[in-house]
Amino acid sequence: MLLALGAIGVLLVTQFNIGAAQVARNRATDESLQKAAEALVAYAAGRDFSASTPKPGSLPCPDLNDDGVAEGSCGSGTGSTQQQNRLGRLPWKTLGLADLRDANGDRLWYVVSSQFKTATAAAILLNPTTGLGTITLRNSAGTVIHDGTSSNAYLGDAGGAVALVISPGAVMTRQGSMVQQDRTCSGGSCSPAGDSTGTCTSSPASLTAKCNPLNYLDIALGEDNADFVDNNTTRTGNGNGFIQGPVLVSGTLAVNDRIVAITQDRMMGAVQRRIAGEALSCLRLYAGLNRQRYPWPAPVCRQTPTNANFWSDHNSVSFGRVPDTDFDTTAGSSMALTWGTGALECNLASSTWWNDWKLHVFYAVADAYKPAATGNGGPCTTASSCLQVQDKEGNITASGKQVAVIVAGRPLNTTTPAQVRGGDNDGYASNYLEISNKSLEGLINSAPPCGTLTPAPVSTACSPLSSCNKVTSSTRQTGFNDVVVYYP
Amino acid sequence: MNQRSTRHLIRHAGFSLLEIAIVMIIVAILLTTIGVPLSAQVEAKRTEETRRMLEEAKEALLGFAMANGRFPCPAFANATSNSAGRESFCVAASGACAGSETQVVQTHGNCSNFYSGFLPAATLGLSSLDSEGFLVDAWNNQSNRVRYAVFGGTVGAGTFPFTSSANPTAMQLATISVLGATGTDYLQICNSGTGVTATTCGGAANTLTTKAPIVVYSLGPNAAEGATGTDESKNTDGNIVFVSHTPTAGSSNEFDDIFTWIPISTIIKKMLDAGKLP
Repeated sequence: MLLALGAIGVLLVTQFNIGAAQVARNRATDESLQKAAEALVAYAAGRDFSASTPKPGSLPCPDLNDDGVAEGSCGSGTGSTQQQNRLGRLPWKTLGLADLRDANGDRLWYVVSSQFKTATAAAILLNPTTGLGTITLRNSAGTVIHDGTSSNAYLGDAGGAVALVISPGAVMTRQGSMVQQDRTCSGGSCSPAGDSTGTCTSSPASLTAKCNPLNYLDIALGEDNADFVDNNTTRTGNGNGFIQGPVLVSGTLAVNDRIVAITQDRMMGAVQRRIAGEALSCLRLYAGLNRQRYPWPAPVCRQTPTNANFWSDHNSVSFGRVPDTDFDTTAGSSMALTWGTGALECNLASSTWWNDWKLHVFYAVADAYKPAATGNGGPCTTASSCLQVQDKEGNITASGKQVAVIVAGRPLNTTTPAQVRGGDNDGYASNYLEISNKSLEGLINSAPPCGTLTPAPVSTACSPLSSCNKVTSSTRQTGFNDVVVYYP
Repeated sequence: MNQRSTRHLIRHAGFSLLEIAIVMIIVAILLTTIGVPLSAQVEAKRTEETRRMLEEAKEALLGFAMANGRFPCPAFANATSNSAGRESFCVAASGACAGSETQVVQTHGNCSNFYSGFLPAATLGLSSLDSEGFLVDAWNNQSNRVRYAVFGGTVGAGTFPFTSSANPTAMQLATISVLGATGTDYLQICNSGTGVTATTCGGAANTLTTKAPIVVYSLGPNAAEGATGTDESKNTDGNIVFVSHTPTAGSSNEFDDIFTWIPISTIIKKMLDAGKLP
């Protein structure tokens, strides 16, 4: 009797421990996956883009030979070649991370979209409108949750993923295979020789069992995680993606890969912040050299195919896109023609990355700090003389701002009307910005020279000025994805 | 007769010595096979607790940097004096200053102990500090004060880029382009102390990362014994080279330091979010 009770007790305790241990292991794995995803976004947002490539937002290639370092290249610009080189291990050394592992003790795997990989061709625009993820991910029921076949920017997070981080889970027998996954040096060689913690020296690295995704990633419901397609021009084949574990097929665990996706919104939110900072840095540099006055912007309505001077600044317009140098009309106020040089960084040259982003970057100059032939900019005396900051509900949260930079996110169809971009559409701020930010167009003294836009662009100044000098700064949410920075 | 049989029944209602012995043996077997020794459990708990402390310390450091545009200098402590858990600078804008440290914030950012200091827990406003203002790990000895080092070299046009509070900050002067460039190295974190120099890990294979300007670490359970081997000695010798790996036992090269760092990409991202970069 006593023995039976004891045995039942032991069984209960061990069962409970197995359950609790599994929960703890999943949590540890998920923590590693999140750390990796966070590091990838930070790395992409902080890219050094002094050279023409990489661009802000571009991710490293995977590590194929398990030395922790990203490979230098991973396929063509369109993503039509070297698919297998965009699926490898997380390049933890390149990211500056610790030797990150899942609860099973394996290093994490990593998939990068052809659109976001390092050294993406200049022809591929990496901005929120066209920089769409290409990787398809299904949930454990087989339903597509990130659709890489679609080039519809309205999808946002439901569109293709920018990158995936995968925990391969414990060794198992893949569906359709007779043998267990083999994570040793067999089939190729490792350095140090025979050391399964070493790097793979075979060429390609996947000839060595421990560097072959088949020995880590699983297959179920017709979706093989060891293989995928992510062409960014012809997207029809991109349905071949990944499936999140755990997947049970007739009661047997078929996929134990745990996957975290980096979505377009998450990546672009971070990169928009970077771009906004870069633009503000240039504006502050310029004001510091020019009596604390900022250059006239390029009117938004100039962005139409029939207009010749897309990127010229224009006097009397206090809101618009960042103009190209030389600032001809600004210079009419005895101010400099170019950004100038100084301690603060200004990177807005005609580089590849800036050309990608130009249409998405706007700024507003406060009335007291606009160009003038004499005197210093400021101070703010009335509600009209400087910019005000409001939250999404319209409550004023700050005022007295000299300049604000607003970087548009992907087009939204949750606004009324839906935002449409390209051609004449680019001539309206409402196709890029939301809430009060699109009304900043009223910050004019006289109608900008805009050619023939239908409907006609804003041509009269709002009155009083304080009714449209409000910048909306809020967290990313339904119907709002502008990123705003301002000074001071 | 009746009385005798009752006494007989009572005698059978208890456990025999044999039964109790069997139960005891089973319990003993259970404890030794499925259970882990109590002392090991305590150590594991302390390790976990220390890891959590280090993570919180990193969060506090990033919070400080987001608010101030720079990281604090390490606190200093030796056998005779200490900075009371506050950051410690040199008055001079360059060079070392052992013996004349100051707790007055110096704009130039020249720390007195870039690579041999402690977490400035008092400056960071952390709680549960020891009597002198330092954060102590779960082993709770004075020798277990949480350590902290910050890169004190020059990056681009920024001198002491992570600790200077000039305007614009040295981090801004350094520029994101140079801070994040492939060729820009910070502290050297190595997989082993063998083959390292005072400035490098001695080869890519032994290098974990060169992209970490900030390290936060604990000397682990054996802190009181001092650095016991080649690997641990690299974490207390006051240069930019550090060693981090999983714990190893052994009399000659025992390693139990708990080592964490903050990569430059995380720092750039946080400074961008806070508007302290570019």
